[in-house]
Amino acid sequence: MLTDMKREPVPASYFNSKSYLKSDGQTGLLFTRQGSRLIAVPETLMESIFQTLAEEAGEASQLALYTFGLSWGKSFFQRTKKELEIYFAQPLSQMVTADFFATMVQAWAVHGLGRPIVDFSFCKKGILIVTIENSGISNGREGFELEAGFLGGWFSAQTRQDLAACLGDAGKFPRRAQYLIGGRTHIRELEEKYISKGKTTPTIVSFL
Amino acid sequence: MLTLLENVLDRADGSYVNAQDLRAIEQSLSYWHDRRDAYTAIQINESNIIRQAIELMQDSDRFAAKPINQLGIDRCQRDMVLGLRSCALAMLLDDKEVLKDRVLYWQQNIFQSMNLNYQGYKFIWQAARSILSEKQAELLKPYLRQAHELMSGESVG
Repeated sequence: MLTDMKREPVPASYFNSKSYLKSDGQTGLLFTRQGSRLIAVPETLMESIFQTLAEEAGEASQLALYTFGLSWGKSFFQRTKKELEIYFAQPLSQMVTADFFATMVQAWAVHGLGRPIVDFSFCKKGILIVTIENSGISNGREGFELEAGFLGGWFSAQTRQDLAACLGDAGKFPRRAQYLIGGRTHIRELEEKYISKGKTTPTIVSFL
Repeated sequence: MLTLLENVLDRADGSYVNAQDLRAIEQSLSYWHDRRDAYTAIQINESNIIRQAIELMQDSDRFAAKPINQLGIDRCQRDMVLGLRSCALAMLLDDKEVLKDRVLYWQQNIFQSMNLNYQGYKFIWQAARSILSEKQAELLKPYLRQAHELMSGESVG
């Protein structure tokens, strides 16, 4: 009987929203296709965290948000890695790079974090440029430090190196935020030399 | 049909399914046996279709100067098996949207990031046309064409 023909499945497109998100109206749970629990975070909560922290901690809130993002990004990478290794039944290190980055775009999308565009043009100079369109973490006015931390954490976990990230440029229409990612001391140096003086990505990369 | 049924559910919320939607469902179901036959034929002939598509690809202009290596062939084979199965399933379910959402956007991101004008679906079509009956191939055609257009950025007239 044809329906019983055995076929080796071809795993692909793990984070597509149709397959990835499950919800159960009876138990009140939202979860992934592998059963990990998900929670939707309302934008008002994000905004109130930014505002409250700024009021309570002033300047220090930026560092707090960055550190918070750093551990969030690291754990987001670890969860993604774990789920992908179960699904593809192979270590993440064996995944083709193009597949990995397409999967990363999908992982961001299905969590409502926006669309990441990874630019490798300045890799040889030690800088990765990542632009997030329609971000769910920053909102065009605030949250950039949190998102920078998130990306720093993600790429630190992915490369197992001590990386950092900072905002290089941002635009409101369309909503996009661009981050520079690199070795921690390199990023701190760029922040001191250029970003603190109001320079943005195009100027900064010309000095790399 | 999945997308159609989801939309029908939304439109019938707290009410009844309207006449137009009922006709659309009937229309889709009326081809069920043809689609089912084509689906079965594709499943039986999968290895033939893929083998022939790979040969067509190897003989194409792109690899005239520099033959593709075994790693490339394995990779193409995987992409083609995935592509054929996804298109066959979308054909069975009469649903183009589900194909885009589940597979094609993801695959498009991969080929775009590699700057590759991917032609695999064209070779699958050429192989499928020569192996399946005309009726079966015609049912599969719109799905392969949609996939080809998304991957290659070319529109097929």
